Amino acid sequence: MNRPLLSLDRVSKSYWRGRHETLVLDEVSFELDAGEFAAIFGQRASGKTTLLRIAAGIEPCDSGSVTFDGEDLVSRARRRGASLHPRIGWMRREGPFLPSMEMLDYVALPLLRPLRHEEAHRLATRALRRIGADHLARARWRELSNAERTLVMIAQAIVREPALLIADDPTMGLSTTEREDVLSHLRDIAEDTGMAVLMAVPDVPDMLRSHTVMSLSDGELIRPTRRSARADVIEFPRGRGESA
Amino acid sequence: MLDVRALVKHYPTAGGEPVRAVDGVSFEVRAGELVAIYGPSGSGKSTLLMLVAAVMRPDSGEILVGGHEISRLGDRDAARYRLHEVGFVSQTFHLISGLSAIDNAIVKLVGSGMRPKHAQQRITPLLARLGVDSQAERAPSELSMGEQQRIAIAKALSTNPSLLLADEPTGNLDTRRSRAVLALLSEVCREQGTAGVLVTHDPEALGYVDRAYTLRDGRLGEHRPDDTHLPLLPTLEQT
Amino acid sequence: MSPRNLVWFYVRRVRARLVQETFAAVGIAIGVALLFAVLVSSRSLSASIAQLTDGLVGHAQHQVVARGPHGFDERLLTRIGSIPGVEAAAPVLQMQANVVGPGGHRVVTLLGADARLAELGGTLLHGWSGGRLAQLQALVLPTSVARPLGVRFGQTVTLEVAGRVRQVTVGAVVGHDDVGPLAETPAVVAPLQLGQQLTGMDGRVSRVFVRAAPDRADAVKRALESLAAGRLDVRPADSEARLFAEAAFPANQSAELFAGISALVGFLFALNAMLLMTRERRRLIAELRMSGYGLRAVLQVVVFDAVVLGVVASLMGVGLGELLSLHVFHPSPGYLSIAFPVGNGRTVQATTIILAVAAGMLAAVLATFVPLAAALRAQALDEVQDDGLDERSGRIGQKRWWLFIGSAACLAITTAILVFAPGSAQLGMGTLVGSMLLTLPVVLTSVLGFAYRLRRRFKSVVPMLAVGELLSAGNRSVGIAAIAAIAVFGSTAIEGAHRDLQRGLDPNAAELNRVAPVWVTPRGVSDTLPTTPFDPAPAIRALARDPSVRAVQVYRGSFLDVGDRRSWVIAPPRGARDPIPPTQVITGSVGHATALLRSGGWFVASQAIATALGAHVGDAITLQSPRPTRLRLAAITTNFGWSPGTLVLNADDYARAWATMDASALQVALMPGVSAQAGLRAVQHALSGQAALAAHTARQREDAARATTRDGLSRLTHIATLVLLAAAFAMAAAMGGMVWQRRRRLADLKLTGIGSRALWHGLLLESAILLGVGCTVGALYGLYGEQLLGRALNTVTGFPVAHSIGATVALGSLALVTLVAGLIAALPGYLAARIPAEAAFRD
Repeated sequence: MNRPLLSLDRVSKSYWRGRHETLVLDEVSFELDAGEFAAIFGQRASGKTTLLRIAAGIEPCDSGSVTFDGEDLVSRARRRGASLHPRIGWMRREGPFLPSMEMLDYVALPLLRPLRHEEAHRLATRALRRIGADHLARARWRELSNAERTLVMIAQAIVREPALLIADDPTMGLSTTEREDVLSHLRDIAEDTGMAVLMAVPDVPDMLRSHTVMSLSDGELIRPTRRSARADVIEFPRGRGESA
Repeated sequence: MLDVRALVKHYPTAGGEPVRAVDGVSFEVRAGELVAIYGPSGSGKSTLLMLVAAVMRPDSGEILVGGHEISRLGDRDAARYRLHEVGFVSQTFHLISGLSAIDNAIVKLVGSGMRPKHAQQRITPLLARLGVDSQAERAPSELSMGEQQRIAIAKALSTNPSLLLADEPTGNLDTRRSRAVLALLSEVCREQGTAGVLVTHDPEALGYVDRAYTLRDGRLGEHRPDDTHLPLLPTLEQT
Repeated sequence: MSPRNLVWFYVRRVRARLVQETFAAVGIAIGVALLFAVLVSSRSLSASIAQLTDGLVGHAQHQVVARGPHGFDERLLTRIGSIPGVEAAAPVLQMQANVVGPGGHRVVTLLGADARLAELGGTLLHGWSGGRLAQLQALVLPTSVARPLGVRFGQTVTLEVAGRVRQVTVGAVVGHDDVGPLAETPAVVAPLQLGQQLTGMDGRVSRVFVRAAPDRADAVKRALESLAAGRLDVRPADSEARLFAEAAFPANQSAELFAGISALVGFLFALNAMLLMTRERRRLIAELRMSGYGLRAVLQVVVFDAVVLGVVASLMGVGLGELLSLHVFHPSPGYLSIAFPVGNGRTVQATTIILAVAAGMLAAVLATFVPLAAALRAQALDEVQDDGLDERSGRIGQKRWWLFIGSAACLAITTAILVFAPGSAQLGMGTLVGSMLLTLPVVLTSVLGFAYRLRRRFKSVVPMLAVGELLSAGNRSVGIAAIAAIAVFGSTAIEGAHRDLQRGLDPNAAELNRVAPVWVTPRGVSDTLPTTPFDPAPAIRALARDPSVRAVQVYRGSFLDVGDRRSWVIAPPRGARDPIPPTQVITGSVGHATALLRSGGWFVASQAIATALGAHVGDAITLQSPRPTRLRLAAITTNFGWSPGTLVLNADDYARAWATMDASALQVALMPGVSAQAGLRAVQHALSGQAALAAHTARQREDAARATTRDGLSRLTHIATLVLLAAAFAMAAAMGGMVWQRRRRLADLKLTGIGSRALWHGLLLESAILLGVGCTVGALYGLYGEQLLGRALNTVTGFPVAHSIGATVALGSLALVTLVAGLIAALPGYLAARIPAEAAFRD
């Protein structure tokens, strides 16, 4: 596959915060290939979430273009009644809109439109199993720990077998071992199914599982030249170079 | 100022072992000190805060604030205690959007019986100290996150409380602002002689507190380095 | 999404929010129920007449009808039958009568007919062969008469008609299966000859219905007219329905107004439902879009929601409406039954059900679609902050100038209608409501702003909390206040107009009856407006012998159809004290008109009749009485409460114009020193041999007249009260919902140390402000609405109306709404205030 799966070209976005207009993203560009596991590192409130949302087509950017699998995501996001692209999976964080919903029903929700609900449930069970969370099928959101919630949300995001999975801070609020677990799962998914994974992380060690790392700071995205053999060293360029 | 002794709180679960949220916790915070409590998110830390704020009663143990036992207060007394002796700061601000910033800040003062006019005069220096006095008449929706947070802090400190309890106060803020807020909390505690308890995940806080603990499985222990992630600054190898 | 999945998904969701959905459905159902009950009630009356007319008339196109109660010679029938083109002609004898049975008595319309009626194709005598009817020397009673009287086939009843008393057998009791809805009308059928005997109208009939060959209808009509020779009326066969419509016009107008208000209340309930459900809907829509559901799929889910809600609510509403209609709003023809054979049977037409259900569905759709519209406007797929109701800035009133201008414009239109075109009262009410709804946000903001400035004076934190929350919830607050305003507006305007009308009619009843201390009339309810003729000679002789009686004068009266108006003709004796009620004269002077009336050759009419006759004061017209007579118009009056209109002339002129010496009532003057009660007893004693006549004091008659009008108008009060209660319920639910959604913030306040009591007081104060502002604005506008309605009633229908400003009513409505809503809303407020501070920590 020559063409990158996801391509952002000079994307800019501003927000009104209180009385000020803040430039959150300043002509950010990057590309993601199928099967690639990429991480974006940046301080809190650096705009990582905004970048991910624009990449997923949840909201439109002010200028620039976002292309996913050849399709223009910006005009898609601007359309009335737009919905999430069928081949993009977005890891949610808030939990189901009905607090008393069982997790299996919630994971199956994206499939209820095209499929019969028995079929939808079967696929949902499979997704939960893949992430090692099938014992949570009958549980309710409030009964779950943070780690369990994270796993269920990942299952929900991959149930439609998307080409691209986007996760915003998937390790938030997790202990060390739990983080390892989640990140391994994500890497396995990327390598086993050929799904591209794009995640945002606040901390460097989380980045270390991924193939590619980028840093977002002051609205600018910086990509390193290559990864060295040492796990805790990542090289950042002065100019541009090839990725690892 | 704050003396917690052998505090125990268990939650019953559907079938089986009760959850030991707080299982024999003892610690002390002196006036002017700020301590941090880390730990896996969920039960334990929030419960501890709730107990200290007299929102809940412990199964056993004591909580002494300024020498007074507060763990078994009735509803009315607990409310009064929270009004006068406790300042609470959290991630979500719950400011009333129909009131101006300064009116939000004086809610506790007015609640304790002060006339709004006096309350406004009383709080203005504090707002100035926090750098938000110029925004006093604005609606909360017109303020940035950081400014709203500072209004909330002003509200918490308005009654000169003995205790300052903070629940993830920097959760929504970027690093620069987090540091600012943490510095503020630390300074204010010292200045006012308030005892501060800070529940957090944020490793930044370590630089601003006098002591740090970790709450694990309901027990309080000294904070260890791998309980949080010390920021590993990437080594830059220029090419 | 497949239908199966839709259902499955819906069921899964509804379990979690059963309370809100039920509230929403109940709310809409109440609106639908009110609408349904009011429509059934008003349409039943016209339907009753229409059915009777159809039952008689069948396929006949024309009728020849007598102008007075004495009918015309039946030999005319032969001549009618010989007109070329006439296929069938059937005679009908018609007279109001009283039927007495073991269970009580009933006013009925006695219809005498024979087999020829069946040839017209009417259902009344469907299945009865000619011979059978003639042999049956008995009455046919419908179940609506037989049941209350407790009579069955074969039993005997007493028939009081035309001043006679007769015992008659009941030959049959017909029900729904036999004659369909006619079983509900008070029409008693007798064979023609028997009817003529019973009423003393031997050889005479009241009407002849004529069926012409379709292409000869006009020619036949002209022939009939020449036959009638100006002494009889030739009208379309169904003209009774038209006459009735004219008479029922004010009742129908008010019913339509009520239907409008009920629909508005229903709309308010939809608004309320929306307030309750909108957050959940928003989150649902965001969830669906984030799960990859395109616009079509989202619409499917949302529409399904709307349909389920609409269907459930409408069904509930129709069921509830049926109950209301049966027990509270049963159609009461009241005074109309004096002049028309209209029963109080209920007719539920298909269109009524369809209309009510459509209203319910519309409300459900509106409730469900507002959050959808807000979602589609949003920038991001998963945005749930703006649910289309609360403004981001948290301050309302930014569009103040637009609102003000709009409100003033609507008010100007209303005033224009009030002054220049009071007939368009319904439109005027609409613009008045519009003005009110545009004013409300402005008033609310101003009040809140004022309260906000005042807060510095109060030591308590309660005003600060209350005002702050109300300002935060901008549009929601206005919505709740709007419900209060509309409810109080509706009840103030309608109740106020109702009382003005009552006060205008009451003196009328007194003035008409107090001219004599004791009256003698034929027995039966119909003698409220004395229009039934009887031979007075025996009674006069009997009374003359009694020492308490000073004088007996003959009073005459009947109904005369002038154009489309069944006008009431009053013909008091020449020497009567006040032949014209003094306060009812509009144009002309009372004294002068009275003198003219007494001298003879002059008459007095209400405005509508004068217009129909084309007469101004002083003009001479030819009155189309049984014997056409030339008279001059002496003055113009109100319609004395009889909405089609009235005519007054002296009894002698009447006798000439109607070619009869019969009386409709006897006015008895008593010897000095004899009290009315004593006089009554003396008269009753004297008349003991005249079983068909009854005596009453003026006071009794006055009370009976008042009771009749009250009965007809009391429905207005019922409806107004129900509207108030329904709105109070809606408001309480909305306020409760609003407060409940705020639980988190309340818990947070608890955490800062604000106590339960302060929180609860804050919530109560919020309710008080919203209700206070809403109700006050509603009351003020309601007073204006009362003037509009009063003027409409007066100008359009000619009713006497005592204009006033119904402050008591306004205050009463205000108090009732505030009390009920406040009480109901206090509970969730109390519960919400008790929320533990712990809740601030929960995820």
